[in-house]
Amino acid sequence: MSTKNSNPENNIIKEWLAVLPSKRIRTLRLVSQITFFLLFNGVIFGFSRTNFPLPVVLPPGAPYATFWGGFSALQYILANGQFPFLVLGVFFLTGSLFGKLTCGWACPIGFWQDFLSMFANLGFVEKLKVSRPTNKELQDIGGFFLWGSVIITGFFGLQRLNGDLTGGEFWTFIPYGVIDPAGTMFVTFFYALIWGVFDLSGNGSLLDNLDLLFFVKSIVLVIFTYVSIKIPRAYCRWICPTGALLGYTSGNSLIAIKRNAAKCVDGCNACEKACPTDVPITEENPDGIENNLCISCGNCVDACPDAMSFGFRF
Amino acid sequence: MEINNRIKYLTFIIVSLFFILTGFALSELDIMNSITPNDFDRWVDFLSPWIGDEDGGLPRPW
Repeated sequence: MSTKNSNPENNIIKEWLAVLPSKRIRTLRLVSQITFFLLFNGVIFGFSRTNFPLPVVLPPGAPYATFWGGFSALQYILANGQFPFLVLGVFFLTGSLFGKLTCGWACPIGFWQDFLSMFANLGFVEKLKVSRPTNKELQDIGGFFLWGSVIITGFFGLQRLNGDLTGGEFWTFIPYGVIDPAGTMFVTFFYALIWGVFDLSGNGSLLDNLDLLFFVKSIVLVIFTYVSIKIPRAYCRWICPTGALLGYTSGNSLIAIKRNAAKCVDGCNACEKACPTDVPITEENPDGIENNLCISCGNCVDACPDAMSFGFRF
Repeated sequence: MEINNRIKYLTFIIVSLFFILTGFALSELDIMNSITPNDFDRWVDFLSPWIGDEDGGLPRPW
């Protein structure tokens, strides 16, 4: 055997090239995720900031963000005593038309989780399997954060409307931002590490200014990262309030993933094995997956292009 | 496809379009735009141990 062939790095590259034709959707999705990641952080390339809310996770205060994260906008508007018609409209419209396609194809945090799950896919880490009932039950966490934030911001919004509260701390406007791992990673760490450690602000280094909240946020981020390495898309499945809100309409979306039951082979389950969110695809309606765990990533279509496809639910 | 599902997504699309139009009519974008800088001043205060002030040349969120 030649030295070149015995090199493990060469073998990994060869394996990737060999499977590339069967990963057409995945490749397209990767291009889409990179494009949206750059677009959402477009201020760094000279794009203008807009205040339009989108149904993806974009943390409040992201230094180069071109849009508002929808859930941040929802909290912020509620906290200012206004019912968030526009945000809910954008979420319902996106969910009704595309389901959770934005989670799978555009969301920066989804992209980050896909990157983390690569360690398990390449065999560096063992994947953790969660039973289907538990997988479903844990979704309540996202609902808890969603409705908890709505109640808190609604309360402060009423207080502000009545004039009982003026101003207020950040957490009264966007309470989820305090623990949001996306905010910790893209905002707090950005400022803390880039500006703090290297002391570009001239305000002392990070080590001079650590406080309890920083540790709490960091611990949440570490847990999120660890779980996402072991369980693909764990945050999307169970925690994400943005996904939870989209989930109310995604089950009846116009565009959905369909399964041709006639072409299914008993016991194959290739589609289910490929699914990052463990949707029981073979138990779903063949005319379109209704499970709100589905992020329309298309991994099942890659795994079985004969039976699985994207389609319209007319 | 079941008629129920068709009714559901058509209802959601109609409701969401109504919500979006209402949101624009109530100038929600302007509300977000006008009050955001104040809020993110607080956000910057929240992060102030690390980011310092504008003189440091750091990018200001929103």
